[in-house]
Amino acid sequence: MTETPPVRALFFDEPAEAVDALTRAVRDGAAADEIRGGLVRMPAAGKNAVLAEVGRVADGILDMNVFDIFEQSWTRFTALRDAAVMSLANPGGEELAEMATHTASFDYRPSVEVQLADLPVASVGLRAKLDFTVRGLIGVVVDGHLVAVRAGTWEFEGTLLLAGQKVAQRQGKVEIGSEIRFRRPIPLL
Amino acid sequence: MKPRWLARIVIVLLAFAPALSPAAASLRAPYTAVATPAQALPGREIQVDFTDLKTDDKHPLSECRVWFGEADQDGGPVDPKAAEPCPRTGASPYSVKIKVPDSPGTKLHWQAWPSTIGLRAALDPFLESGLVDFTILQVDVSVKPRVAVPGKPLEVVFSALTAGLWISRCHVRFAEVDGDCDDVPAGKKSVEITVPENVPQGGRELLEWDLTYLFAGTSPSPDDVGSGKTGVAIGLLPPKFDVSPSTAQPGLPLVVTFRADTTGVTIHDCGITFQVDVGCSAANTAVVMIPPDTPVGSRLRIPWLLHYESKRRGETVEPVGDVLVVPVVAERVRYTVTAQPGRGRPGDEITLTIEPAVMGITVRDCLVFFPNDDGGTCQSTDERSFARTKVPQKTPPGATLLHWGVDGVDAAGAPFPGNGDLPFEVLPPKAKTSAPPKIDKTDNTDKSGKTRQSTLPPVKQPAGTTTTTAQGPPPAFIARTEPESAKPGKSVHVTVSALTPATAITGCRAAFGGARIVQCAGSGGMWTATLTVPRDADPGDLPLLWDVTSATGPGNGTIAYRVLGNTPPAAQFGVEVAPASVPPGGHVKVTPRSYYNGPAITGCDAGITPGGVLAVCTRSGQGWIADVVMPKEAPPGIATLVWQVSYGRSGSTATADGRTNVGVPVAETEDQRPWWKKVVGVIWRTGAVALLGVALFIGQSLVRRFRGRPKHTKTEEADLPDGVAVVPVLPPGPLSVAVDRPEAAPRRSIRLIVRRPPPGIHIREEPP
Repeated sequence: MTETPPVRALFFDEPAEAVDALTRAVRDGAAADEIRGGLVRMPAAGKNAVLAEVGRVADGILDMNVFDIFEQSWTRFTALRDAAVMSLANPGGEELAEMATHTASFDYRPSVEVQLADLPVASVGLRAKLDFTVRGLIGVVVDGHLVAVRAGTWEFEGTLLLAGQKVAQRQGKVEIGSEIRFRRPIPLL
Repeated sequence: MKPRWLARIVIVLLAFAPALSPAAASLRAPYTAVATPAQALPGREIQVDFTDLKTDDKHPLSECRVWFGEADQDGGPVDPKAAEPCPRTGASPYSVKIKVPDSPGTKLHWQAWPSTIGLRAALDPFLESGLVDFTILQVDVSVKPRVAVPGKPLEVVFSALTAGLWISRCHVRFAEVDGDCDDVPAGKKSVEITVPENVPQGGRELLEWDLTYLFAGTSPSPDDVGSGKTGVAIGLLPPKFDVSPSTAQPGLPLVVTFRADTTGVTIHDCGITFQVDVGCSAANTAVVMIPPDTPVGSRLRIPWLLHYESKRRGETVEPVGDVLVVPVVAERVRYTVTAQPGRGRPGDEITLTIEPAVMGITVRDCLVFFPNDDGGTCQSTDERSFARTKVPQKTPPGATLLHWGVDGVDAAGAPFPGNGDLPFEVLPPKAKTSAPPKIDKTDNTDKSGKTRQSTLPPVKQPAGTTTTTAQGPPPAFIARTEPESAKPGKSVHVTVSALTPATAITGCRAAFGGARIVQCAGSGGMWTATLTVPRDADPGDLPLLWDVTSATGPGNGTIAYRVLGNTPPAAQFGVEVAPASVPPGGHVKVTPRSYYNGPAITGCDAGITPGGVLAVCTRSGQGWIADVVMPKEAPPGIATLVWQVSYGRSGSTATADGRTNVGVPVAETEDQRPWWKKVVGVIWRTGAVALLGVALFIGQSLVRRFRGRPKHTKTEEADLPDGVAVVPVLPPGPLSVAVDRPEAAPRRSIRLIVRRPPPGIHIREEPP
């Protein structure tokens, strides 16, 4: 079985790289001015601590698993839903559906908010834009649930922006060698 | 000669033998015994009179005795200790007194005999005995209930058990409470008393009773009385607990405090259920947030449960629970109250500054305290009225309430009270470092350990001094100190003035506890005493006592005066809020102030929480001013203004923060709203609850994800400044993913069918 990567891993090779890049982007970009402006009377050390924390919180958002994205889309595929219906007539048996090549686009726009005394003083926008092209993916359906995916490749192209500033841009391919079995089967019906 | 004499005596005795036997003696019955009275209750002393019916014979009565015993008339042993002998008077009549025992089955026996020389009385052939005609009366005294309960009635029942006995009067005394029954004679009577609340629980108390009676066929006598005592067990009342408060406000924390009101009972643990189970802190308080959309006028039902420990003897300890019903109200702002700082750690000192929100009001006294804590009382200066308290030790981090109360007086001298709560954030305690300078609460002992006086010794009124009783409110006074704190050896001016218009002060005095009393000097209606802080005073609070006399009555008070050490006092700030109440969407002008010759303010910002926007102060001719907008979603009642000021001190910039209450008037009542608004309100509230749930879920997910993430930046060890939070804000709803061709047919479909044949069982036979 293979583990699915977090979104962060699509943009950075190491987790530490992500924190460094995001913190750097916060400090050097326009976001820093907004944050410093909101904390105008705070000592410099305090402001720096806040900027670093913004980078860390932004990195935490990228901890999202890629499957969190696909979980939202697989329920819409007719092929998988048909297999789910068939599976109900075959308790315990597996329905394997080799899916046609398809694309999935993901545009995620969270933000990191700096609050002073519970009141927002600055907000730093984060944007993760990902386009996947999925080829040769086989969905494993049991008892109306997608329980695993096998084989296939996921080609992706992604861009990560913080406060409108590009932090990372990558293209890549994720090969699913054997099978990824979900801890929580995804209901298809 | 001698044998012949002996033979004659024997012959004589034999000749009289039938007559000298006991049966023969009773037939002759020369002696009788009569009891007076012939019936009595146990405990009473009666008299038995003996009579010799044949005084002219050769056997005059000379000795007798009586006793109560179980034996028959003629048999049984006589207990010498129980028998009462007749006094040896040597002459008739013979009488003896004996006390009636509390033994209903016993009889009164008598014995009498003539004087015999050389023979023992028991063998005296003329000894006679019998039963005295006497009845031991029986009255049963019982109590209902058998175990007395403090504060509850106790019925004492008198029942005559002897036929012909009537109880005419009765009286009881129990735990210093007396009770009497009526005067109508009856075979059964009762009297009811109320057991005092303060009777020691779990023990026994003595019930004393007395009565008078009538007995059939006899004439009433003043001696027909009886009395007795019996122990009655005192039961344990269920322990009392105080669970408060009585009201809640939308959008504010609700701090439920638990307190045991029964001596010997302490709360072990407690908790409430409001959406979730919330346990108590070490101070026996549980805190929940009241949702902002909670309708004013509704009632919250909050179940609570506590376990307690008891030192009361014989108490069975069981959990106690009930439901706290709390009406949701929207308090009105009568006083603007500012806490500085607006958040603090256990042990931190908080200063609460109180200003009337209505013109013409003077703060006479005030009180501030955290739940289940003592708190502090008011001190007034020319600038402000304030009180100090500390965040109680062991207060858990999170929201709590700072309770305050004000005794104010208007221009006519009429009372203008106010009270309320200010939300307060308790920060986690810092790691232990060196001990901070100790500032005690008002110490009531001097350096020698003697207790300082809490009031000044009374003033000797000069002859002819009279106090007039004026119509209107009682006289009210205020004592202001200047400065509000000082070092040892420094002067402090105490100025006393009257708050009621018709009050003319005739004199006043002031003194630090244990120090010399200083008389005031009057000028223009203001009376001032100048004191000196004792040079040996330790840094902390020192009692400053004052009293005042006037034509309409005296007054006095105590101020916890702050004695400064070498450390400069923390800069004191507050804000002026205008107006004191503003509807949602309205604007509030916030003007910060520096108290007590404090440093100059160099900037500030302020905003309403939650839901508000932080407004940065701008400099104007009136100083720094922030234009704060009340959030449109602000619930009615009390909103909280959080503020921060920056100031320059010793060449560097520092900041101070605080919280101030701002009123949000109730726009319209539920009944006044049109039906469609009610429907929208319900829909909005339902949606708000759903959003809250989503927010909580997302928050928990993020917390889990952030936990344990790697930290590699250089500044990662730096703590965030107090009051700053950096939080992720995720887009609401499910993740947005667009897919193309979701309806595309699969390239292949493979069905894997599970076949489960019945299990085959094969048993191999063992070779023979």
